[in-house]
Amino acid sequence: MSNDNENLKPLSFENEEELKPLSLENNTTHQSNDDFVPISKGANNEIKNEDSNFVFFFGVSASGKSVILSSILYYLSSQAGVLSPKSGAPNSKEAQVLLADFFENISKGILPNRTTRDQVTRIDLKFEPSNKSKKVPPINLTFLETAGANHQDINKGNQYHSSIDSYLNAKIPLNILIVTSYDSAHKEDSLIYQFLNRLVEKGIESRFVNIILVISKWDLSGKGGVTSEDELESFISERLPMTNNRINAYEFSKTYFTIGKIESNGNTEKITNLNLDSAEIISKWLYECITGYPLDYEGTFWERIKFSF
Amino acid sequence: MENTSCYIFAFATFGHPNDFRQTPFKYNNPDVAKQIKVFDLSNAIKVFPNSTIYSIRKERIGNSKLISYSIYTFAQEQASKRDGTFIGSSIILENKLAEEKYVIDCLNEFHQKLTENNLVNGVLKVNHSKDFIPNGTLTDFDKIKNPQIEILDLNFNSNNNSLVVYCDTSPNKLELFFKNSIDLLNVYDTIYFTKSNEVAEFVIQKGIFKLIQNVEDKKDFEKEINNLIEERKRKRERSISEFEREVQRINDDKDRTIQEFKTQIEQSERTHFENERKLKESKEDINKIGQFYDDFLNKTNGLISQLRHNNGKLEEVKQIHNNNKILFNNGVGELKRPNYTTTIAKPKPKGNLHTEHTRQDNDNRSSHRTRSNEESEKIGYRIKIYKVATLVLAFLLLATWIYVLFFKTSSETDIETTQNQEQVNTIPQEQIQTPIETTKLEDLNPLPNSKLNDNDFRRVAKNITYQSKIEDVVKVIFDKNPTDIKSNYIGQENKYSKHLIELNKQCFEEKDGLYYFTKDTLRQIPSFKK
Repeated sequence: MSNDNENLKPLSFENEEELKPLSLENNTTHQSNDDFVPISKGANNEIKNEDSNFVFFFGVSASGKSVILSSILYYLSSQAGVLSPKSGAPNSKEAQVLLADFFENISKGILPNRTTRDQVTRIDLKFEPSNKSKKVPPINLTFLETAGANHQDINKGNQYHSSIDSYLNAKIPLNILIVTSYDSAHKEDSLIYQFLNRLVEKGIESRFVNIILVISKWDLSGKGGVTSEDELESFISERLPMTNNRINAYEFSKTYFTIGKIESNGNTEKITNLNLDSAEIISKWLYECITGYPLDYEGTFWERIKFSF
Repeated sequence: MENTSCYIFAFATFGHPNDFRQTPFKYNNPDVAKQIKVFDLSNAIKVFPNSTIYSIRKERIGNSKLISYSIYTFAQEQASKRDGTFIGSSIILENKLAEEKYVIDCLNEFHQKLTENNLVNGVLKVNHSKDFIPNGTLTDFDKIKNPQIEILDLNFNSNNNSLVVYCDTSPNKLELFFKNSIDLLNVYDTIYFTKSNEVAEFVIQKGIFKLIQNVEDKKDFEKEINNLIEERKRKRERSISEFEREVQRINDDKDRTIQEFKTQIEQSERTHFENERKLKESKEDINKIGQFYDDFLNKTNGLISQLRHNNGKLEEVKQIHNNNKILFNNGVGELKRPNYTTTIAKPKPKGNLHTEHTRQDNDNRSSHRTRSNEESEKIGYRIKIYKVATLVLAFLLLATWIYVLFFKTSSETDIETTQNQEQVNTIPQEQIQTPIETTKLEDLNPLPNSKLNDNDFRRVAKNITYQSKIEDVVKVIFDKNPTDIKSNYIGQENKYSKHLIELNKQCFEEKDGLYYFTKDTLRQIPSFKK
């Protein structure tokens, strides 16, 4: 509005591609002490015959849902195996663009944009693990990208927007990631509790879905990770007392999440050190919940003999 | 709150935890205000710092037809430095339009005040739009609060299409764009206008919304409008020429049918005349026959009385009688010949006189043949016909199967026209109804430019069961093809199902006015590929 008299000229839309080198921390060093997430009993010990395994994120705006999603996708495709479109189920143009943005931005250290309200972007993918064991088969994954506003909306008995409701009402295999951030978890205890109640109201029985509580932005604690299980446990029991009781009662999983080091650069925030450790933990939890076998399963007895040759 | 037919909304992205929120500051019907779609932007377009995006959007809520004029400018969320965040205002007019000039003035004034009151150094001061401090009064609000201009010729059904125009958005230019956009909203749900090249480049890069330019010598917006007008004109002309072709065809059919009828009638008249002549001859023959028999009887009676009165020798009389009998027999053979109606023309298949002629024909022949003989011959003849007919029909059935299985790719329209023509030849009345049926079929928007490939229609086929209602079939098709079909034709399910039935007539059956999917596979599933 301020530059009304400026002369406008036709654009020459040339895409300038800038590629920046990846800054990936060496993951192997941290792996040993981080891998402590209690694994909930998988709903099934075999691959579900359903069309796909749905991954649903719950969390208010700016809690880190999209960051976790993009880091899971990045971990799965860059370190754990191959992520490819599901054959016969083309993603919408929006989903394709979102996927492309996730991959392109995370490798450049750019955080995902905010998500549009009142619409679910469904991303259908097939994940083929690089693990060659027959017990570690390819799986279909369907990620549902939703806006925080819509989750905030269920506060005080309000209904979900129809676009999300249809997924919750469908009898589909759900894997739910409840995301709350380190700095605001204490404000969201009640909302998460209401969400868990909403699942019960919808007839989604806790024992048929896989639920994990993720404390995002763990880097705000001043540490890259947690030194012991107790640290996370005491954080959750202190900041999310109601949620904590519920989660313990149903033996849901808990973990923390950090994307690495984020620095404010003038008007924007950028990841200066990408850390996929916690994305790896969540990805492995997801995989094991779905298939009943760990992603890094070392193979059956015979396979181990075969692999050793 | 004043009662107006005009709504004013303010909205913004607030980040943690509220995210996008919108609040009406002036509204007429609170129920409508509550249901107004969010003014949130999708990831197809993004507001950059120092950029402005205007938009015009159509929407229907119950009986309310709403046109929204919105403005978006950059604003930072309180607790984050995420980009693409914004503050915006929208003026929504219900069922009528106001002068665009005043709408823009009010919109700019409201938004100007909104940003002044609620931003500090570009950062939002509040965490929810309900906490916004709005502008108390608007200079020209009187001129828009009771919109009077009728909305002409705009279809409010959603097309799920958006357009972005890179152009000068100064008020006087924007006024014209908004004015001309109403017509274009027949094609797009929302049209965005921006003079920011950053925004334009972003839209191009994402490739979800179509971007056109209307700066300097690039006049894409005008072209877009002209295309719409042209397209409409083309459609109309196409319909006119289709109608004309149909009129011509029906005219031809009419002439042909009348000609055929005339020929048939003439033929029948000739046959009828011939038949009458034969009947007359036959009646005369009756007298002759009677006379002939009487002659013989008289002669024989004469001979009897001769013998009774012993007037002649028995041997002679016998000789005479024998001669008489020979004459009689010969005469009888000659007499009967003219009675055969062999000269009557073979009945035409469509002639009404057909059956009567045959019967008469057979009756005349009956004097020559015994009834049983005739019947057994007839039955034998019929059996032969049935044998041949069975063979022919079986062959035809086989040929049809082969055709359906292997050559089904031939265009449906050809089949349709030939079917129509066949109908005209037999039952002219029905033909008049057929064009009405076809004209009822409205075009889908956008026009389908593709069909599902083998993989895709098999996938659909797996998910539908026989005896499903057409609505359910369409639902499955939409669900299985969210990009190429659902996103383009949502809201047009009815039209889409008509097209589907039209393209796959063999698969559907009508029961009580409802169409059911009963057999075969749906192979012709229209779709639209961008």
